[in-house]
Amino acid sequence: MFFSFILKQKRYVLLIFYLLFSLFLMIISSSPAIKVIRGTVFNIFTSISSGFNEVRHFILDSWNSINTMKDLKRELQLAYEKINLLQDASVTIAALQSENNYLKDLLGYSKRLKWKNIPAQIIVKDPRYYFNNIIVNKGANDGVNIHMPVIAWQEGQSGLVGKVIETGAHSSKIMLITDQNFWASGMIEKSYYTGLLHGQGTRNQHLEFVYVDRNARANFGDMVVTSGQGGLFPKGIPVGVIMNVEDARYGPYYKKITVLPVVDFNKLESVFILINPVSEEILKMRDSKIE
Amino acid sequence: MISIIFNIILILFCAVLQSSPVINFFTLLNWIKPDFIILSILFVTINEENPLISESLAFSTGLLIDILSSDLTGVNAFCLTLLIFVINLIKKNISILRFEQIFLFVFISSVTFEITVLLLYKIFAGTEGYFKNLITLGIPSSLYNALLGPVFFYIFKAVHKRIVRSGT
Repeated sequence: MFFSFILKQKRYVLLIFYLLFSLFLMIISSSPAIKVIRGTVFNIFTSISSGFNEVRHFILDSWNSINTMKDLKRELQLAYEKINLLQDASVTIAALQSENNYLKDLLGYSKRLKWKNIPAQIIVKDPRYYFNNIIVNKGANDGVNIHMPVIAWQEGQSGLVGKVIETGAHSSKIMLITDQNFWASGMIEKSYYTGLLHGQGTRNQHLEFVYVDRNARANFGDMVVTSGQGGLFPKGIPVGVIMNVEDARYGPYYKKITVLPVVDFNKLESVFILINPVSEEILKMRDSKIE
Repeated sequence: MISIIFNIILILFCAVLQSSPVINFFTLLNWIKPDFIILSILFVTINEENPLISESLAFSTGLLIDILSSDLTGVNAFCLTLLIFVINLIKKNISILRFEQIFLFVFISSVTFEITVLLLYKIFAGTEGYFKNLITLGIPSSLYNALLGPVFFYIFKAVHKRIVRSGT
């Protein structure tokens, strides 16, 4: 009787199951079991996504090769007529040299960094728009742990990218500094005044630097770096430059400063995950508390 | 069966596309991006006769979005399943064929989805800026989805027809 009712009404039974299950997941969202399931699905999807990226690169490379072939053919024809080919070749060499220099630069930067680091490639960007996350191709098996700071090297300048918030076996999720849930302790590099850096979400690609002393010397173009307070981010990582300074509405004693990140997140392809000794200590403390 | 496999591959493809750097090509003003996942699940819903399949796919897709996008598991799964259920209830009484009909259908569906998602984020995770997020992100992106919807629906329909025909 009961089963025949379920079979008859299976659509509604399934719907109720889906909805109740979703609600149940929301309630127990932070439990370890859910994290394991999330990690598994996370790994499967990132594997698919990596495959897609490989295909995308293959198509782009093939497309570029076709274009290059066309160009070469045209250039070859021109070469018979004009000696300018040498100039074209020198341009190509210059481009390769500049790419080579860039790669050397990245490699050199990775070695120069005073913190141990794990270079990683971005494989997935956040599919929705309310959170600013990215997923990279290095995970727990590579030594990545949650709360690890992430930085990038772009056009001769290093900058804070965010922090690791979730790890799978071979991939990790990183919350960008522009995410509205991102908070970090910052400092004006020139005047040493500290405050809190807060992401403003997808639409606003800038950060707010709040709770900065009203008397702080803060000028347009000054660099804001991490202050090292709080323990997660090492001191001195560039975050962004000051774009605007005004008195805060939330209190007469503070300034509110708008900071433009030094990292261009639209162009970001590779990052460095810092194995910050301080963050390891914090993790140990957290783990010992749980035990 | 071919149709179901097509639907699964379509949604998976859209999810991979949505989370790849390719999305940058479609991003307007540096912050309004379309939602191919929603577009694909809406297409599957109006194209699939069996509501059980579209609702199950909506639930699975929602869970995938939850895992990739937020810390709170279940929000997108809940909202997407509920939305697709409502669409299945009313789809026999509405016509979704012409450009403006698809536009309206996608816009209303997307906005409803955004409102419910943001509401649940606010309730369960205490996410701030409900109206700000809705007005600056949810509604512009829904409008963008609605503009792209008819084009994508025609492409999906053409591919679906060709694959199903070649399979039978």
